[in-house]
Amino acid sequence: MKASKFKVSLLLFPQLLISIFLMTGVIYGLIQGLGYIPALSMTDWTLDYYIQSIQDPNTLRSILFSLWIAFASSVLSVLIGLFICYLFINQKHYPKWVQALIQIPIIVPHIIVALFVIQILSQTGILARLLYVIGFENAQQIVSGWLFDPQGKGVILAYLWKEIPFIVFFCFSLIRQINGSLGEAAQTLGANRLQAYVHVTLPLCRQTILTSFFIIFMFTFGAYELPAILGPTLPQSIAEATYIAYTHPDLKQRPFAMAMNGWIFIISLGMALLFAFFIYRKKPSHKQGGQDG
Amino acid sequence: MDKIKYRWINGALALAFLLPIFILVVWAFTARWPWPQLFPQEWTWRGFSQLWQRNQNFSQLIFSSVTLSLLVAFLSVCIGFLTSRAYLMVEKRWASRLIYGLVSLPFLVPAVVFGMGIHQLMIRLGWANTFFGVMLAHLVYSLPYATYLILDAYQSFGFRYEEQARILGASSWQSIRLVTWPLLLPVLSTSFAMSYVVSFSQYFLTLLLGGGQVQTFALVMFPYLQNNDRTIASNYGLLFLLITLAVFLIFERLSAHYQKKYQLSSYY
Repeated sequence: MKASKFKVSLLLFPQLLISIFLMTGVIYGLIQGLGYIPALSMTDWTLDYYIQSIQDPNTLRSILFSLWIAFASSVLSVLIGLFICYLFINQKHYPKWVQALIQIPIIVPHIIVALFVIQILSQTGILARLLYVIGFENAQQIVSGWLFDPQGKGVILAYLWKEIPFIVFFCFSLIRQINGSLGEAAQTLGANRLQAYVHVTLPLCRQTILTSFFIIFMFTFGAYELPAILGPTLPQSIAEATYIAYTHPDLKQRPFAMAMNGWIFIISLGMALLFAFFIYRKKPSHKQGGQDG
Repeated sequence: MDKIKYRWINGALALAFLLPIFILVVWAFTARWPWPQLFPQEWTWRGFSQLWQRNQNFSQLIFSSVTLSLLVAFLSVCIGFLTSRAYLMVEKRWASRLIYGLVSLPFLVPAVVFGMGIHQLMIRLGWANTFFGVMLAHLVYSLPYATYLILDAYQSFGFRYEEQARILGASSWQSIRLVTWPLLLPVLSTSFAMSYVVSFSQYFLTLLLGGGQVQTFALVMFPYLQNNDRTIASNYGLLFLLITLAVFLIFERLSAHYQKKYQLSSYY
């Protein structure tokens, strides 16, 4: 179709406005983190807030805590999600109703997932009650480490419930398609089902899988709600720590909040570059690929 | 043997995704559930009626919350459609990569980073604590989901059919309305649903930019979760899911209705 430059730019105009809006917000905040807030009569550009905020051990712990949660949730979601896809494609007539059910978590917001986790895992939750009924007198102690713990187990579990279905939703149709063609071919050539899946189908779907991994990682890294409800008092997630600094009654805290945002942004960008490198890297050649058979 | 094994696996999967919702429903109508009983001891409607008692404008809250997300979803689908068309039109590789990058940008920027910066700007512009400001911010994060879905579907058939219609004498508007629109309708309704959910579930941006003036369902529910008032929180959760489901059903009906109009068989 003939496309004039004018027509394309007209079509792109609304998206461009939104992108500019997004970047304006980001840059506006980053500038305040450099100490330039005329409204508070601060006009000296400085890197002090960036340096001081990262030197604060609490900020550093928050960043590590958020990175840990993001890493654990996204890796586990992808692994379990891909395993579920494997279970689906192995059934000749995989049941449509299970696939429909597995989409439920996509419409359930994170705060309701938090409620689920509390109702199941808290000390008076259903799991503790079940354990007690089958004879564990100390049921409440057994489950006590699962919520509000410094490893964020409850938070990660909540993310898993929400994101595993997202992986299936995002990757399944492509996986099924590739497995049906090239995966089957690998099987006729002597690979067993699992080998065909792991060595042929999954590498061919790499780009889609990495993209979904990336979306989950970035979201969980910067998210506020779940760690705020299910996480420990300390360490806070980086989003929570930043929000607390931002809403602090002492307005001198604001450049610190903005500088912390700057660090979140820098880490996110670094991650994005890393993922872009993995996603757009040339596919490994045959010689590098199959070491085992 | 295999069949039985998979029956168990499917059952376990279904249970894992249904059981939490079942427990939520039980809690919503629980009056007393002392430790270590496995089942609630007393049932009640108190929680459900208190939703309206505690919050005088509760019906209005639901209405404005749903309206906000419907608007966001509508705008997302429109913009997503336009962007997808532009993406398919450009021929240079760098240009299509640039468009894809613009679309994906919100995935690179956590909502806290954008939210606080834009909050400062909105205070100056007078958009903070307004419906409009919150809607714009929601739109930023709902849009990429819509665009990804539409782009994916649109790419699979591109402009082939449209061009065919043009060759047969249709105007460009006709070829979009009569050819592309019905072809895209299923994915348009999926992406509408997706962006609706992203907006309806949004907590942080509403909290920050609405400043308590713009209230949404997710916002009102949050304190009950933190205070551990499980009966009330469960009622909020249940109602939230029911509203989402209702919106989805209505939308699916509408889209099915329109699709029927365009079914090939009706032309014969």
